Amino acid sequence: MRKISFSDAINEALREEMRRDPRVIVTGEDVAGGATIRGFERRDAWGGVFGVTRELVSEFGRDRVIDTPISESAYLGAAIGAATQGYRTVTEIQFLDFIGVCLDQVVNQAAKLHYARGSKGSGIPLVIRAMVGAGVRAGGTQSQSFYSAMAHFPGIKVVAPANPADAKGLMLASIRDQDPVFFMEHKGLYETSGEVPEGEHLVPLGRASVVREGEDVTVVAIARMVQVAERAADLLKAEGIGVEIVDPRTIAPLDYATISASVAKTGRLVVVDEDTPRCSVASDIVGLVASRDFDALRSAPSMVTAPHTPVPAAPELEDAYTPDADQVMAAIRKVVA
Amino acid sequence: MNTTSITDEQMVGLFETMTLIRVFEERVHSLFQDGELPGLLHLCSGQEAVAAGVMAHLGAADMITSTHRNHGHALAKGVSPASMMIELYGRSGGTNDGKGGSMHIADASVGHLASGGIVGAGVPLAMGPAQAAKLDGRPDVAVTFFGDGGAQQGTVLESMNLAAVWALPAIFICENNLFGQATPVAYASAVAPHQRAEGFGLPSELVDGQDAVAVFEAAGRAVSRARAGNGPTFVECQTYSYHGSWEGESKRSYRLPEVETDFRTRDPLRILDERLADSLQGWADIRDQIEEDMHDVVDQAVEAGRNAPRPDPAAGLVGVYADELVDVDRDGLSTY
Ligand SMILES: Cc1ncc(C[n+]2csc(CCOP(=O)(O)OP(=O)(O)O)c2C)c(N)n1
Repeated sequence: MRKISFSDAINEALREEMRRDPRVIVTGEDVAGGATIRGFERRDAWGGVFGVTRELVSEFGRDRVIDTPISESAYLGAAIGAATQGYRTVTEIQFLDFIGVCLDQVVNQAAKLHYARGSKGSGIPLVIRAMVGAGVRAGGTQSQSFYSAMAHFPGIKVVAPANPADAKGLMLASIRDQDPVFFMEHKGLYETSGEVPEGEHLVPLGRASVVREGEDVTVVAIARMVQVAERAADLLKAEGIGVEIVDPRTIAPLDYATISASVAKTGRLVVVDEDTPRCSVASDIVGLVASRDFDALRSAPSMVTAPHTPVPAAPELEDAYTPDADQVMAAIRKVVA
Repeated sequence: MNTTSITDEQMVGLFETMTLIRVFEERVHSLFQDGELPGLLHLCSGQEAVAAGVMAHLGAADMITSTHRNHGHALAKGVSPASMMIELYGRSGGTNDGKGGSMHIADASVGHLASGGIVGAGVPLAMGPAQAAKLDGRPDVAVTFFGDGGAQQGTVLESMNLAAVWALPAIFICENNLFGQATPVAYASAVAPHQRAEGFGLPSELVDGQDAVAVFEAAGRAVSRARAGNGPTFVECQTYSYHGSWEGESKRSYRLPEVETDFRTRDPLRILDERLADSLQGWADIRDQIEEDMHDVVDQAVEAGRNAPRPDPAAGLVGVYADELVDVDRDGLSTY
């Protein structure tokens, strides 16, 4: 199968879905770029700050790939409102860190409009693309991974793909979904490549994937942390430890059944997450296993997360902040000991 | 043109500040290109006249808030170039102990309260020092900088209203450098940002941000108004960023060559240099000395950055909370 990058996989999903459904539109700051500049009527300057939406405007035009002012509350609100009129907007908030400026539109509007309309509701189909992840030395306001905060709100769905194939499949499914979906893109994954099926490739929301099988310990890892867990698992083979890696792919609604089945098999759990530890997806998963599958556990579950601090800028500090394979191996050795 | 009240000495001061900023930013640009500096950097070469012209009226008790494009504001406000450079190197002992990096440079001891990576977020923050000065009966003012892109944020519009209804000694400086990333202000803003001020009840001015004297005078009027207890002012400065949006930005083709050339021709340092040549005897020698001195200052800052120690990785774990009565561990748990 051909290999493409994570970034190209998202671009391909958007393109295919925009071809299939004329009501799909893309909005955000510089998602086309260069609006009103001579020569850029159809061409795009950037296609987003990391080029994920590049060349969409040349195929679909500026009526469907729409640059916005830096007015997140207004354009996110517009996307929610347009959803009530049959449009499916894929809107980009750039870095998830920026969601604070328009959080009411998420928490009280997107999340609740459908529910509050009772039986007359028909959903708020909408995708909010947001970049997460440390590693660019940008400091605390452009490096966070607080997707757990979005997952907290009933009515909001959250996906976090870890490889190009899932990025494409989850994007197609997210656009077709009837609810507001946060689509979390880890900056450190954009350049990674992998096999991606051409054409229709749907990865349903709410289904985890077992990335590799093993007998001794279940490692649940999210987004870029799946790679880190795989490196740890490779290295631990030499020590005779069999690691099973589960990638939830969708954080809300979480596929607990797959996690539960894996823990039933291995009896041990490590959760690896780049987010901070308190009130996080990691602590949530540990809590679920402890309360629902306590009897399956042969040792106390462990969490490998960032520390409970903002993301620092300096390279040494940021590297120390981000969970790595050594930390994952140490946690695994402890739970299997 | 209009006769100006600015003195030669004040103009020389502006030139010195602007030269420091230009030399600093050009060094940062090449150090980043050489792979010596990490980070996400937004330079302000081309915009020096705004920082210098505004800050010339402020003392350490006057607070500013800045943006992601903050190096010039910091230098003009008196933040140490060496401390800033150490921060940009990601070493320890700089302005933010390696925790902040380029986008979060600040030093409250010289009245620089905050910068940051969230567009529009610094503007509400500046309302606080303005409110405090008013409540304390001090003549101090607060100045907030934001871009033409930032001017589209609700936070800015809400702050304009708050400053007007509370009659705060706050000064809104909109640095209109024509673009927010690759989006032209003419697309993102239905009217020029300063035109909104009237509707909010703020006096406003539109000035040539390439002309340090024009900025100096407009800022002087705004600061006097605020110090006299007559409330906020909005000043839009038309300017241009020579290095685009951020360092490493790949596509620059959205910047039309004629606009680029126009602003480079009206380089703020050149305009001021010409003014000084007209009015100050022996200016050429003074200028050469200033340029030499500022290169020395920046050379020393770079040396300081190179020689500063790398931070201890554990240093990132402290200082999350200010209250030392309750200890909090790595996992965010209380350890009393
Ligand atoms: C709330 C928020 N939205 C978007 C961004 C991404 N962003 C960074 S710089 C920038 C453009 C800012 O334009 P402007 O305010 O005109 O300042 P300039 O960069 O031109 O100096 C954008 C959109 C951000 N940092 N914060």
